[in-house]
Amino acid sequence: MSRNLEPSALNSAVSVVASAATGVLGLARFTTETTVYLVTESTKAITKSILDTVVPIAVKAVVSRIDINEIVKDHVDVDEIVAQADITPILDRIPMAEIADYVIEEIDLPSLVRESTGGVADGLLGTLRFQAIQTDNFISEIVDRIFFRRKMRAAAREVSEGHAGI
Amino acid sequence: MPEFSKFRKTFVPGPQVYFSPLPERARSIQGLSAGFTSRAIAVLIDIALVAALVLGAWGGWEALRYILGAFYNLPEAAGIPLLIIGYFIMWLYWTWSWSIGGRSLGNILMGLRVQTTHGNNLGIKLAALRSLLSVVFAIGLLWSIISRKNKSIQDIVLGTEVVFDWAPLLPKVDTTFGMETKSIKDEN
Repeated sequence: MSRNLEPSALNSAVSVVASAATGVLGLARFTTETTVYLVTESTKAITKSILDTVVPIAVKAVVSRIDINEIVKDHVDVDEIVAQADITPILDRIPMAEIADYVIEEIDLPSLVRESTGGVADGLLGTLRFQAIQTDNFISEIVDRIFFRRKMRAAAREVSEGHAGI
Repeated sequence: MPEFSKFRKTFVPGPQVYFSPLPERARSIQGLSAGFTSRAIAVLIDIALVAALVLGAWGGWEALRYILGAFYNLPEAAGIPLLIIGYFIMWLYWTWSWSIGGRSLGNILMGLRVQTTHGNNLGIKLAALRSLLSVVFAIGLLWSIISRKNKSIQDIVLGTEVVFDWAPLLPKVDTTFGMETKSIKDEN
């Protein structure tokens, strides 16, 4: 009976050992995986925090030691970039009317126009013309009185109202 | 000289610039009918111009004849032919100048313009007719002393008028302000 039982006892012993081994292996695997995971993640976190701290300092240190403007000037064709830029939206943002007014004011365009065109008419010639007009006013006033006209002639009226002193 | 940014802060949009080539004091009379004295002076200037032209041409012609001709008699008093030529040239000159812009030299100097009562430019026919009437019946201008609208006989007959127009003949303006520009001709 015991000889008959022996194989089954052996079987039980083997199965116990196998279960124990499986348990140990599973535990080992779990432990290993967890450890690896924890190590990886903590390494990542530590690395990230170190980089977050170090990189700005490093970049700042680097950037402060180089002239980016010079690098851009040396290596970037600014003209090419500007040439490719769409100018229409830029123009849309430019206050054209204000610039036009600014230019007109800066170069004093009204006085330029007056000087280039009205100068003669407002000088000696203008005086001659106004003297003729005033003579006309004098004559027409007398004539209008002789004919008992109530309304003076237009030019005379305008000049005597607005420019009596000329 | 303020910067544009400063100008922009103080900028108030609106009609700030008054563009007019007319001098300040001429603006109120612009377009009103002109009186006798102004017109008479303008006529005298035109007559002086034509007289100088005719007499100058005649004198030059006589001088040329004197230099070239071996048998030269001193010029006879050529009053009547010269007067006729002068009238003719006066007629041509006024026709031409009134039809192209309503202004002869006298008109330009006195700041006057001849136009129809509707304010239009005289056509060549009307200008020729008015010019003819003015030449042969210059005394008709005297009516502008009496006329309520400063109209001469010619004006009344032909429906024209003479108004003040001080707008000068605009000179050519350099709009590039001295900057070099590529002309279209060069690019093509």
